[in-house]
Amino acid sequence: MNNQQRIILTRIVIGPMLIFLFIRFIQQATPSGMSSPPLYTIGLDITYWIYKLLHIPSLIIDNAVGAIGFDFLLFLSGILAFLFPFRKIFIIVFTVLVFIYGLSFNAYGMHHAHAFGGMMIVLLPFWFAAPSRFSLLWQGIRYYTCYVYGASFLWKAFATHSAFYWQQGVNTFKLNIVDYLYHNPSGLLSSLYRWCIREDWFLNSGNLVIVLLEAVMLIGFLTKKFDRFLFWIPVFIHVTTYFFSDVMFFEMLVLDISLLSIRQIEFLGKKIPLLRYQRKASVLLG
Amino acid sequence: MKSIRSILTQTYLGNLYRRDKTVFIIVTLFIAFNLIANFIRLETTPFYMWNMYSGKYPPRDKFDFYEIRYNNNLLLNPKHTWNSFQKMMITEPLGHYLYVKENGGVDPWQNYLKDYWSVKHPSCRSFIQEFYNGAAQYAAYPDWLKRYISRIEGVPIENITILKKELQYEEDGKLTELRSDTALIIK
Repeated sequence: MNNQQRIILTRIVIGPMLIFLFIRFIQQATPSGMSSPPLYTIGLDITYWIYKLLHIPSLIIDNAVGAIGFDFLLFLSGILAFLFPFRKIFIIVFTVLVFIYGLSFNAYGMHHAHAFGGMMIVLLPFWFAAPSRFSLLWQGIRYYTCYVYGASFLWKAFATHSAFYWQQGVNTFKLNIVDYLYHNPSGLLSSLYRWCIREDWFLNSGNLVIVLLEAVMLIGFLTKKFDRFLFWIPVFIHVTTYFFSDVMFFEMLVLDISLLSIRQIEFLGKKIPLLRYQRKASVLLG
Repeated sequence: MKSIRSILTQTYLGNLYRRDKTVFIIVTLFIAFNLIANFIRLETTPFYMWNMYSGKYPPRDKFDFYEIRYNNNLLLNPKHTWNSFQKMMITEPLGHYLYVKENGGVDPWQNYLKDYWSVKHPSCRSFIQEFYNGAAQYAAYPDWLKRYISRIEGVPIENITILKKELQYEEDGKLTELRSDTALIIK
């Protein structure tokens, strides 16, 4: 991967991350909007123990000025990392702040959700300037992407035995949308949801298709030949679960970018000039 | 026929080992921690168990959720899935608060960490209280909920009523309300 391709790739990753963080910001789900929540859950996760023992929440959650400052630095570091893809310091600061934000939201949202997990690690390869080291680590992210979905299949098939439990689709659907249907009984989407409950084969088949597609992601461990098809599997999974399970896992798609080939990265760079823009190579290369 | 050694050197890890020992160690440790987290079923961020929705969901007769009304009867209705972040900030702490209120005002983690975990690990006793909510946090929760809903809705919040709704699905997919109980009033 040459410098131009790396600039494009860095922006393909950081751009969506900034958009996802902005959605959280306008949803009052970043520290400045969270209004110093008092309750939290730490559990037995040692990373959260360290987070609490370092008194990070005292600085960025309990303190209103600290919360605003944190959000400002989070977005500033992200924008600077987007503009100057080869300035390692911006990427490192952005990665650390994204990681701290992930811990904060999960702790004070009182649910250690995984949806943000991809955002927390995807930038690690970009910490390294050397092309060979970066390339090796970026390949690692590609394998990790295949692992995430493959592991989900393996859990369902061999640990919880829910992979081929026929009613899983309709049962999760009913549970997740009960408040939506109760409060919004009219409208096209609610009519569609009621049809789905009546015709439960549709949801149950959909669930089975998702489980099988998760299994297909394991092919990525054997060959890169099918990456252009594998790329669409997480997209399909997260779009369908958005509409049919009321869960927003789109942030996981930042990992999916690792399945793009060099040709596809260059194609995106040609189509979106902002991705390849550079004022002075010397400034960018730092 | 290729030897096992030559096959292994062509793998990702084999390639890493040949080209960059430092990265090989980092990646191997990352894989190992991920595997351990899955085997012992205990996560340490970012070493997750990627078992998304893998639990079996058996059929249910009844479904319940908390309905939030503010300023005398206005409904809080974050209806889009992209609202899920603010929905989570409200529903998860609310469910926890109501559970604790019903169960003597003690965080379930306090029972586990103080009475069981720190007995087994006495060296952690000095800081274990950092990891669960105490009376002061629970006392501050109602005011925070008012502040947070005010921020979402953009109006000052005078009062909040939380109703616990119990519902059932009919054959045609419609919902029938079975019960509606007042779970909490915040003034």
